[in-house]
Amino acid sequence: MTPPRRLGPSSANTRSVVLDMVRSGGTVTRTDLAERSGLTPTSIARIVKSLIEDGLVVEVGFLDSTGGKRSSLLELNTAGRFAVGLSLDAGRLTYVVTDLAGTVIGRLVSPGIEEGAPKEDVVRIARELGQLLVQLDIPLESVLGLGVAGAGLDLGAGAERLSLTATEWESFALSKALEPKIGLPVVRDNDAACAALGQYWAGRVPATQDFATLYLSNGFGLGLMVGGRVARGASSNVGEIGHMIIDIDGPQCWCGARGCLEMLAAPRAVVAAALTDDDLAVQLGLSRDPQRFRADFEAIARAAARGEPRCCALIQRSALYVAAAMLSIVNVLDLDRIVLAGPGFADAGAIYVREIRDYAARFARTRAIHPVVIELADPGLDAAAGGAATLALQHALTPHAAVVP
Amino acid sequence: MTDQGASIGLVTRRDHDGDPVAEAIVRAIAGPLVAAGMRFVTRSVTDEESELRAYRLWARVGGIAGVILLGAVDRDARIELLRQIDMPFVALAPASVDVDYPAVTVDGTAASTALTAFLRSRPAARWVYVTALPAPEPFGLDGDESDHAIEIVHTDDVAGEAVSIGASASSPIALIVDDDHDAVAVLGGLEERGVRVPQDVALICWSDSLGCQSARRPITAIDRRGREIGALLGAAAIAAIHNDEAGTVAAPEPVVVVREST
Repeated sequence: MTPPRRLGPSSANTRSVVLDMVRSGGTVTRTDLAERSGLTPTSIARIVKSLIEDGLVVEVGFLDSTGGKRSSLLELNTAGRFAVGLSLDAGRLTYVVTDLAGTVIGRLVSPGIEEGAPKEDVVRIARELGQLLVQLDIPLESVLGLGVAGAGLDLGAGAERLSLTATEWESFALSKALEPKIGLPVVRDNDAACAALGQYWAGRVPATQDFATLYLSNGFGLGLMVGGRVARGASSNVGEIGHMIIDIDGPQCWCGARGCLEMLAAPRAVVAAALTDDDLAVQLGLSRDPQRFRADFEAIARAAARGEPRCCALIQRSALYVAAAMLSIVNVLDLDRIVLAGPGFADAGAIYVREIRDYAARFARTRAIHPVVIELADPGLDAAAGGAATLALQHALTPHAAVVP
Repeated sequence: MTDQGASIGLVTRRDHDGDPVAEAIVRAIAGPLVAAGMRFVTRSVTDEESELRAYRLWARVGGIAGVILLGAVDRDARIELLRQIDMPFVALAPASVDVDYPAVTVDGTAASTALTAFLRSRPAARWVYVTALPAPEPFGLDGDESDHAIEIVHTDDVAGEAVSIGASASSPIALIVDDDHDAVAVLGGLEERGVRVPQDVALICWSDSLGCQSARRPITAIDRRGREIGALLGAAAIAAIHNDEAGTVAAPEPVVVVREST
């Protein structure tokens, strides 16, 4: 049994914690909340009253009488508020709208940011978001905020550096530019961290379990959940696993090092290897256009999933490098769960799962103590956007659990 | 006319959440739309009345150039409404439904035909389909002159029943189950009972998924071609909003993807 969480009555985050207890508890009574929080019944009654008045919590019935006054049952008012998550990707923008329980209400997929300038894209994002809310019949006032997931480094002040593809996004302060245009608070994080948070919030991973999410889009990112929170590091840039050095004599990476995972195993590397086989390139209709490497990678991954032997070998090679990197992560952090997410795993994710699972079973230092569960997120394509919606929810509703990225 | 910025809408029912074929279809629709510079809006609802409300809303507020309809039936109220509100549409419909609108049609017996052909090539003495579905898809064995007959076992405990049948079989048997969760559970259960897969029991999943592909022993499954169907629907939706004569397109036939469980 989880011991009660003792809270000081002066805690600025008390309301947030109580709301989180209602959210994670399903259906609870005021007595339950008092026992779990350690707050007095009077304090709980006051906080619950304010949550009901704000439309965040509803009374859904009464507990069977045990002689005294019947206790009312409380639940999160899931339809009372909404959040939007946006995955900012070169190939496509994905918006996900969820209710307070994280249930997906609607989605929008539109062309990616590959060719647009950030200032133009921000205008487009504001327009698309506004239209989407109208088409879902959701008033702007009921939306708590927008979470944005994107690849790249957090440079501070809301600026982010997207790796390789979108140089114009370097140092662009997305949140600052977007907030006044949409009239909502914007919070951003990297796509891997968002995907990890989404898995946690949706309850797909036990709250007590530390785990990592490996995200594959153009490159790799790692989201790390520790103690129910996203691990952040000194500058909110935990998870640059794409630049883990796998081969010190390997190819030169754009980051300055040699033999980074990204150069050996990311979609560009797989496509480059496939293009050395003219027959295969023709057979798959590969474009040879550097701007279309994601489409080419998808074609290779799809063929691998169907069992095409040369494509299987290419993906397997990539998966072996990834397995070696993830083995190091498992060994360093003693993890027992890895979740694979992101569009890069949508077609041939199973091959990556098998290779990582095999490596962990054979070589993890803790293999005699506990197994390591390797699984694919569901659904892979929306994991970052769904997680970004979670980020917005968490930021607005339970700030005690969120650390501003 | 340019497609840049136009939106295609789709309303999904929450009771289809978790269906790998439906999810593959929906994911794939976006491909041709985004490639054409268009947007793809989906709305998740619980019932038909909510779905109809969404179409009326879209007609009122604008911004949706056409819609994609899943699971069309004869005398479909949704089609009647879409015609009333003059909303271009394309439907995914069973081949058994009479269509006089743009549609991608799916032959409901094609999956069982592909499965039957596969099973005939295998040594199993018995074929047993263990299902929790009240009305599983037809098996298309009418007129089958082979020595085999499919046995259909209805149960709420698919994994438990399938493991029990597999473990008690005295000769090679082929087990078919509904989804990847059941298939993975059956695989584990059989291994715990010392049953050899595929030598003693061949295991097949009715719908392929990443779960089947990533199982410790990858599971043979029927690829229902969700990705290709979705891409066809996306392309047909673009044609529908251009008033092109899209007509009816037959979905590609399912194929059995052979893996280590058979």
